[in-house]
Amino acid sequence: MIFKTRNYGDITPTEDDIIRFTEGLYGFEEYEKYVILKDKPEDDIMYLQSIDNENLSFVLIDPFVIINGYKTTVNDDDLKDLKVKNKSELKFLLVAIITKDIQNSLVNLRSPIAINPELKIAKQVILENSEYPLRYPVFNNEEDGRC
Amino acid sequence: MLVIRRKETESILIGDDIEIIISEISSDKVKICINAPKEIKISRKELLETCEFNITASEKTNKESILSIKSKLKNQISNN
Repeated sequence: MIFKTRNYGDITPTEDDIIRFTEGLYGFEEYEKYVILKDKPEDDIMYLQSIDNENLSFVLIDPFVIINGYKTTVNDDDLKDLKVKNKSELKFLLVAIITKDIQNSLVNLRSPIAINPELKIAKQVILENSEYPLRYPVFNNEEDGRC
Repeated sequence: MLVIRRKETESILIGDDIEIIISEISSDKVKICINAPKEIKISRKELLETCEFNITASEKTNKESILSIKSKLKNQISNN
């Protein structure tokens, strides 16, 4: 089946490509099916494209490129929804706001997208007992690099 | 802003029908019980902020921005 996307033209995802969100993203609860679109498999930045609404798409970034050792605390209800026993079975990605001046772009470290790669189910989880800010700059150590 | 000190089991009343009870205090957390009418919406602030973040994040971004972020991020990693 062919789907139109906002950034990638027409795509033909297989059933295996589709990720189902148990509750949708916060603010977008009515949309549950998405695909992840990347230029290259190794890319750390990608699109999360809704299959239910071609005009709904998010940019996601792998936390690994933003901070060292991203720590997550996932509660039992979230683990149950994602059908895993341990959070180590999950893959985490960050929702990004890409600003016109890309230097000011932000990621949400506090509410990552947790994905069960095995079963292709996902949920936006709000980390508990976490010091991570909700709005965190994508480019954070520019100055350090120049020193 | 009004600041009130409360101990475990003590409570605060807001208006006539909202009661906030301090149920448990530990070193870095408090457990709060809230009695309020059903029509009062109660949510964790992070939830609302995540909603707002998602709404801004869903706005259209152009492909060039994504490409430049990708190359800038590569530099950021190699600088780390």
